[in-house]
Amino acid sequence: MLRHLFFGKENPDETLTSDDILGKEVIDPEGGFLGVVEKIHIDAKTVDITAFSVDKGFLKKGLLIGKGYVERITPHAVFLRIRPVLNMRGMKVFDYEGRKVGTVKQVVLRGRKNRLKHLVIVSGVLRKERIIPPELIKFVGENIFLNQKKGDVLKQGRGS
Amino acid sequence: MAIEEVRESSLPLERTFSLRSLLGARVLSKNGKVIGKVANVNIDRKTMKVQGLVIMCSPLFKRIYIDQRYFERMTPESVVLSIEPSVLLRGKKVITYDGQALGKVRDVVRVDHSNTIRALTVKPLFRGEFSIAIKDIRLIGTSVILRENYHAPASVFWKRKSG
Repeated sequence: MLRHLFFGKENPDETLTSDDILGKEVIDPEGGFLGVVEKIHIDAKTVDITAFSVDKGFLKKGLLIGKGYVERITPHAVFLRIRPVLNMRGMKVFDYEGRKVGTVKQVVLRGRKNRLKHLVIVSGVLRKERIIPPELIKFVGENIFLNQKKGDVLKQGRGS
Repeated sequence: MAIEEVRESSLPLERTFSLRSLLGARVLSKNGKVIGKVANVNIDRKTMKVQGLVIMCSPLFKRIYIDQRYFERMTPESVVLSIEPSVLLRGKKVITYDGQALGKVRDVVRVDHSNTIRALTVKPLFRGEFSIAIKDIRLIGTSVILRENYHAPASVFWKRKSG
């Protein structure tokens, strides 16, 4: 049996252990499974949790998610309050009328926040790269809808 | 060669597109999911208007019929729907508010033939299926997430044998 030594008013019954978190599924607000919690990152000075490393699977790049993006931790999963913008990679991009414009090759963030700076998409047989700024994006679901027609997007889209 | 038009007040030819070009067009759901391709265009015999589309869904080659009321936009290359067809929920994971996986959607009970869901039939692994009413569902997205106060049948969960 563990003896508890707490400083202050912490209630041991309301705390979680690393066992409660490591290996748990990480789920976004849409119910999408992002991976499992691989590591917990702690600030050495304040001893506060700062972030979680997410293992997305074999041969996939991991994800580091700041604790500010975590909505709640339950006995079975870690729920996020955001859909990681980086998951847009690989999504198909359609124009306003459903014509395919391209596929997302790269997602460029603003700094390290979950905010999109622009997308780099490849389109056509020659897989020409184009930059899509966030202002052109109408909706992001399973794929991406733009708010303009394909012809207009390709005219104003510039190469990366 | 130019086509001679015989019409009264209806749309000029250049503002229409032929049904033939619609066959094979990509069909996208409201969420941007590629549902499949247009296999057939169905026309009302009395009004002679397009009533709906038969869609060949990928990858299982299942066919579904979508009424024109659910069309958002249409071009010769693609049709964008205003809905997420509920019949395509089959196979989606169902999880509790706490993130516990209950199983997968086996069947969708709808109000008549509409897209309105009445209940979902869920099949856990190696367990019998059970029904979840729409009122117990919090969100249908990539997975189906249930409301916080929903309690799944006890038989759904694996329990260790005591002793």
